[in-house]
Amino acid sequence: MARKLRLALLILVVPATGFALGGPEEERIPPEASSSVARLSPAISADDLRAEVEFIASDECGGRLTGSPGALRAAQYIATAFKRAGLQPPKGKDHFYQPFGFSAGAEMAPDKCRMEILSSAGDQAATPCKLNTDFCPLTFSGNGTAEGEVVFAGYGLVQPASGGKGYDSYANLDVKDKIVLVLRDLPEDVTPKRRQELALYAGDRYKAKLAADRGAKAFLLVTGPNSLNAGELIKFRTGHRASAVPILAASVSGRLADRLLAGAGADLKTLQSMLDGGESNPHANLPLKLRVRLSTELKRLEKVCRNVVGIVPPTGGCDEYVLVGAHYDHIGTGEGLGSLAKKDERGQIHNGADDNASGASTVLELAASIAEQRRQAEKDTPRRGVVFACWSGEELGLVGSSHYVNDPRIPLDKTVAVFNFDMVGRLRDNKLILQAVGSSPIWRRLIERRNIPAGFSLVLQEDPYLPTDATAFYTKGIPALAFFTDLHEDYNRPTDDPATLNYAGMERVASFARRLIDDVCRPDSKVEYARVERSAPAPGRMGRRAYTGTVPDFAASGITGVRLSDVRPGGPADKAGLKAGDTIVEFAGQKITNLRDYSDALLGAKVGQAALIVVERDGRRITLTITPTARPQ
Amino acid sequence: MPRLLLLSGVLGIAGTPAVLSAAGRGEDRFMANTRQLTFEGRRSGECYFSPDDRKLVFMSEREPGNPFFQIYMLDFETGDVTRISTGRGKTTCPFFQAGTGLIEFASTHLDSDFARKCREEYERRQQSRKRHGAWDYDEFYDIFVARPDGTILKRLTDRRGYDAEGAYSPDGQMIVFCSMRDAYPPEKLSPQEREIFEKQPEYFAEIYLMNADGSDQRRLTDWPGYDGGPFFTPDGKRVVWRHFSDDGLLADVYTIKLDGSDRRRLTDFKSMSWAPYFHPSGEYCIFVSNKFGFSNFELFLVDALGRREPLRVTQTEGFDGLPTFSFDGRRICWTSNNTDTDMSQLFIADWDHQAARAALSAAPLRESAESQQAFAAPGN
Repeated sequence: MARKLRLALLILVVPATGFALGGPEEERIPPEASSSVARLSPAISADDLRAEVEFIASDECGGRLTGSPGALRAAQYIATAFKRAGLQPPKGKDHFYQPFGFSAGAEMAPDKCRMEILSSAGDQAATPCKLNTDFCPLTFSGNGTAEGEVVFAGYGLVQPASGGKGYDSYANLDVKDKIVLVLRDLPEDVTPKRRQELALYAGDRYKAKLAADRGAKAFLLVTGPNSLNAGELIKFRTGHRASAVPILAASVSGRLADRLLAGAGADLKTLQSMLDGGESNPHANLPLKLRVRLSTELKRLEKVCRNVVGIVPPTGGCDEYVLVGAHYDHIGTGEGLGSLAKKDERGQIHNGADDNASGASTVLELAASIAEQRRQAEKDTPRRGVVFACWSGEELGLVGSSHYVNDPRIPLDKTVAVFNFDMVGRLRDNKLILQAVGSSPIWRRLIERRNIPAGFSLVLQEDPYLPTDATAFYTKGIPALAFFTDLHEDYNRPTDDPATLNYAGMERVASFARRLIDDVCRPDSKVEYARVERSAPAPGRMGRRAYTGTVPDFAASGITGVRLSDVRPGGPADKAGLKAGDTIVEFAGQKITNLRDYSDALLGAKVGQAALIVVERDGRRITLTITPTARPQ
Repeated sequence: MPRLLLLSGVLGIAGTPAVLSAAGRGEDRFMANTRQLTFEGRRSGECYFSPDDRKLVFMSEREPGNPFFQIYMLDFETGDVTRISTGRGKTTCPFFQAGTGLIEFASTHLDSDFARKCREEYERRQQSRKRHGAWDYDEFYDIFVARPDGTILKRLTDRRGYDAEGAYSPDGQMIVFCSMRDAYPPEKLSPQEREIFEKQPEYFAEIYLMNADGSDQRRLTDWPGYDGGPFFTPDGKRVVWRHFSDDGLLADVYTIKLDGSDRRRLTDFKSMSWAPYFHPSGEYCIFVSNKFGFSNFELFLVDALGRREPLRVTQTEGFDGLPTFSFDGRRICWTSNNTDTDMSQLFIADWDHQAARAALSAAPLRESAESQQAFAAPGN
């Protein structure tokens, strides 16, 4: 497009404030975004909130999966609104966007994925298998080629005795250097209670990891004839995020599995039925007399998304800031990201009105209202500045806010507090939950004062380790206050729609938050940081799942291991001597390469039993002893 | 909000607690819009409305370095909370005076030994030693009057012994209070009385009256056993208070004329019934009882003549007590430990007076209501 024409378009579409909006794709603001923003008022109002949510949670934003075109559309809306409100871009930048890269799943290289059946004796020609008919790589597969004898390992389930009755598909089975064939899911005819116990250990990826731990070279997964989708291959989903296991892994069809078992005179149905009846190892040492060669090659996809960050500068000689943030991303059509969609809702757009168009729109209202106030006020009055931030990547594990914390637009030591809004759209019974109250002693005093006229039925929660962006800041020593109107039946379902929100309630929440932000913006407000000890679990309510009290650094990338951003005071890791910044590389003899490995290792760990944990600290490997406690529940 | 983290064992996050609303607990019979009012400080308790209902005076432990209650005033419009008492000593039982906006309260700030008591209290907490008895009858408590800005205007009592639990009459001319002065000096007590004084000094507490300027201090009750918690009835003609049994385990609510005659029993509830407070209509009284569990204190209503059985108001485990009504009768404040820290804080709710009246008139007659009580409409 001719440069003159492009500039002309910019002038038409973008209010003339002298700065760009970002890169070429970010510059192309949808006209609906501009016209919606143009109708917003500087005051905090339910009408504004409704208009903002209706855009951000519209089908055109597609559920705002991090890195998707819909997420970009929402980011453009937010940037346009920031601009109209009169926010400034961060110093040294001429736009509001803060891009970051993230791992977005894997792509299969079809010509490099092969499988062949070889006879044990080598006396027959290799039988090639058809990709997408007989076999298909699993998204968490490693890359490479493996050849070995096939061994059937039942359901491939290992449940440690401390986690329940105990179950071991690998008892009396040697799978070292072999290729393991395993049934998907768990035994069909178990009680619902037993099903719940075993379900924890029955994930596809976890089973592959168990096989790898036992020395297998490759892992083949089949859906048995007694199970749902009997005999079908597991589709390869390109965008599906799943970190790789140290083993080749592929799904095989029921037909192929029967071919592999035929050599021993066995068939999948008989074997599965015996397993379903409660025997854990009818397959022990079943001689299949077959070898298989498998090659898989998957390319990890890297994508880009962006935070949107705008500034209201401090005045009167002050150089500190308060940060007001909310995530704007959600889970797109829900695949692989913890969607709770019912069967007939699957695949629909998860509009995420409450989670978290509600929070993003609250940030927009606060931005407009505070920027307006500063325009009218005495310029000499000392006041802290405000950083307004809308994060992406939250649903992937606080990726956007963690990126900011590692590369902040305003130095962290000049950021005195963080306000967070994640699901504030469903105020019911006047109940508002304020979380992370324990992160500073100032919160209770300010909350008490400001709630007397605001009149909420408040529930205060001390714990600052929350499943939302505030945690990324708390672990860096910044007190946080998070607003929340509680979970509901539409959480993570396509039914989380704009019409379900309580806009009058959101207006009250935003006005209340505005008062608290004003209080903290006074330079004489001392916002001291407080460490919060986890209280001992109530007697008689011990879960059996191991707890270590570590806080992973979600923005750490390109590391082998799990880097810790914090350890909870008084928790098992703290007592064992682990520190923030350590990278866990081994736990109870298992190599830890990423968060999933760590999560899996905890699943198999025993409460109350000391385990060796190896961390890398300042270039040295240090071995410590940790005794996990029961997870407080 | 990422579900992976929400359910993850890695962060070890507990879910949000299931907090039942007041309606969910069945408390919506007379109350609506229940919510916690105070959050600051380690604990708060006992509050009273100003006559115009725009302010609240209350006790709270939020003064750095002082583990005892101080008196604070809260402004409902601005939310500002200011300290009325000196910051030193122990304080208790504040009340507004009608017409002047002055506040009376009891305080030990003149006790030269206070620093030691302060230290001992912090030590006791460090060792988690249980407090013997819930109430502290420090003999240095005296009644003072202060301006809302915290200037102490006058000391009203100066006798040795606990003088506290004061409340003004509706016209602001008089104060009714509780005093243990008759047990002092302890040397003058009989040997049996001395023994009781060592274990249960409150046994000697009686209800007293005085003018608002502290003159003409005279005793109203003469009844062995703890007599305390007095207030004037809304018509100013009677005092309502509770009387404890000799052993201090049972207590009931009574009213009496200002000349000490016509003592009327309102409850015979076979429990510890205390902290009575009249609704401004004069038709009924709210009080606290542990009828349903020795440490489960709940709020109850009883009609002004005590003719009917009490009605239950709250349904929350733990402590709910020290209730007061606003002067327009439309709101209620009380103290509860149903908080995130399990320590007491103030709560407020809208009060449905018509529902209370209707329920009371349908309540069963109390069997042991004294038959010689003539039925008298409020105002007699």
